[in-house]
Amino acid sequence: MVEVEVEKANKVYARIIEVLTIIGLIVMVVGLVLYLSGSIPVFVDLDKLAEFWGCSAPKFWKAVRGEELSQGYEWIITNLNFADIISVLGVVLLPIGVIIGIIATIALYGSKRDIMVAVAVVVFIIMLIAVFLPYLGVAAGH
Amino acid sequence: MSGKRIEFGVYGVIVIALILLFIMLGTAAMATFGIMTLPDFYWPLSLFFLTLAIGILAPMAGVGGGVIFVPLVSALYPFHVDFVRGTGLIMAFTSALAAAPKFLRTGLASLRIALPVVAIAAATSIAGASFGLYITAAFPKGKYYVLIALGIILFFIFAVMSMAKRVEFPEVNYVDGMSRMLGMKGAYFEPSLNKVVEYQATRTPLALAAFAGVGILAGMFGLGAGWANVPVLNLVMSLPIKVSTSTSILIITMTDATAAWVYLARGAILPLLVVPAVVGMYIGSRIGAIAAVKARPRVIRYIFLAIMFFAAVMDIYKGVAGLFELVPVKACPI
Repeated sequence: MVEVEVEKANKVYARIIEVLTIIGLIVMVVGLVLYLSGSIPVFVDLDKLAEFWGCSAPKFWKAVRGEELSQGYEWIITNLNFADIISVLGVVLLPIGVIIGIIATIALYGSKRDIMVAVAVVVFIIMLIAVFLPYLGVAAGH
Repeated sequence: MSGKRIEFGVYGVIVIALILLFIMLGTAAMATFGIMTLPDFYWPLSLFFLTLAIGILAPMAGVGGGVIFVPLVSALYPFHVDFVRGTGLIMAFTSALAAAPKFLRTGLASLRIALPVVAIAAATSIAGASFGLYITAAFPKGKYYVLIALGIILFFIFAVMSMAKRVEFPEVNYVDGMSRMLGMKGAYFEPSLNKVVEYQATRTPLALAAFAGVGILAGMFGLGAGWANVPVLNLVMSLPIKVSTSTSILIITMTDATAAWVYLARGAILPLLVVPAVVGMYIGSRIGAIAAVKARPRVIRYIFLAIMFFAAVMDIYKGVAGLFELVPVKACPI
């Protein structure tokens, strides 16, 4: 097989998402095992979860936690001591890996004064908007 | 191991995956129509086996698993469509993240082509994801509107997948200014030709307009977008089919990364559903990718298309039944 020359940005992005995905998957599975074993406290009781998983997300949280979740990620950040939220943290690591990958891409294209840096910056800004959308007051539903 | 034995093993895997798929769908359908009652723990377990089977068969059918997961699970499983879309999105996202690094390292996918597409599709996928969650939250029967829309979209995808042509190595006679300026090109080694194939994107503005629409649908329904990305990359941008499928996966890593935040912020991610689905798909697609190299029976593609057709009918049926209260559909107890 002939080796084809690949841009450094592609290789670096590949490495970053690879590592973060593996870590994310491990955290997800460990969190679920802890959740099912009941060895540490859980955010959503298993019986309640099954009772209300047919409800929309806002109604579900009102039923299982007594109130709707506030917009944003406080429900994750402030509850990392719960088994099921550890599993959610594993999910969070996946898009974080992509953002770190884009930042690395910006640095690499920027160092070569490549016009692609402008496109990578636009993608980064869109990703930041997605992250902070709940705090911008424009997220739908509430 | 002899070739015959390997072939026998591959067909064995296919048969097991098909049996698994039909058992999971059959039991879920019987529960939906009230023919049998299943314990609560069955459903997450069933998600694992369902995604394992989809993961094995999808590479042979030439489709991503996400496009079939959301319509089937929202039609046959007791979970609210909010959680099904969240699970489907994370599942498609994880599969793409697992596959993309290999494509980037071999030149089959390139950030130079993916990033301009993502700049458009990611923005519209945020809008799609927000709108989908708004519909279910703002309207008492929003869930049913989403189910009906999902069924209709699935008919459309079914038509695209049935009719779309694939061009192995499209000819590029003209390169547009944007592609030239951004250097939207690359090269990879093609074993069937035993040579390095060079490629360059064309008709970029037209393709970007198409990707804007794809982003909305992908975000709104939590569907993988490969069914739409690949024809646009292959037929509009004139990229070789292998580059199109690989670049589509790279694009999904970034569009789904943006939509994922919307589902996380709204609490539409439940680990008990997400983890079995992700792990099942991860293991299944690894087996499927190996098996697909050895055998690609045409019948698998037809079975997948038939399942998609069935899922579309079921989604519309469930949506209409819920909207007009024709039959009792298991709903939220509050």
